[in-house]
Amino acid sequence: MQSINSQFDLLGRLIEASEMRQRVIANNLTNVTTPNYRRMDVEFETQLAQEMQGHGFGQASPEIVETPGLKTKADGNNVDVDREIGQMNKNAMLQQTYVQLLGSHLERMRLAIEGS
Amino acid sequence: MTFGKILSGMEISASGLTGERLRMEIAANNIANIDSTMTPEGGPYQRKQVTFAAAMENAMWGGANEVGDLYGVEVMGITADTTPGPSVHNPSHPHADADGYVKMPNVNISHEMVDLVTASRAYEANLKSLETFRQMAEQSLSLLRGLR
Repeated sequence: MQSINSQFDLLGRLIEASEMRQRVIANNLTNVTTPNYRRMDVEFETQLAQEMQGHGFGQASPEIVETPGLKTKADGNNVDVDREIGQMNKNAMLQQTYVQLLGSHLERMRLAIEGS
Repeated sequence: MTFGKILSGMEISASGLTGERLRMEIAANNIANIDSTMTPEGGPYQRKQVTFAAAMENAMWGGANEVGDLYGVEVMGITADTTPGPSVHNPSHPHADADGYVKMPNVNISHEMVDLVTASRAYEANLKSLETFRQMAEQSLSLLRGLR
């Protein structure tokens, strides 16, 4: 029982992080012509990996961070539309994967309860 | 909790759509006035440009959006470009000065077309992210479909 609960918890957190990342990417896209705007992203998976290996600082939580090392345009803005669209599609696919995994866990639980 | 955030995320994209549409309207207005040698304020038409800023707190949802400062984009203002336009020698024009020169607007058609195309592409990108929000919300809702 412990394992199935932690799976629910993990998938829930991953879904939450991917939905947050979608908001951040949408914000990047709306600010594609805003002078001096810096691209942001969500940092979660690396922290989560550390937590799961047992050497993180408590529970990992998604954080909004600036992306370093991007080419800055003349107006001080470093958002690249193509990159954002790519990241957005990738993120949406991941969210879909997590939701479907969660759905199949729920289905399996339902089967176990109902017995057929 | 997460679902409410997905909906507020749609507001982010919506602010982008509004902004880009305004930019297109401004560019269209500039093109329409490419030959306007007289305005109510006097003098030839001056091209307008719109400036954007990343929107900050209490712009949307009354601060219910507590994680980070993501509120999309807001229009800082519409300003007139004051660089002088070209003068054309045309003594028969009603707005010609004593020497027969007419001051033309400082609108550059290729500049405006570039603005139009960038605005239109940015609009598409925002529309795409709105669509992605919808898909993600639908995915999450599909979890409820299995429960009867």
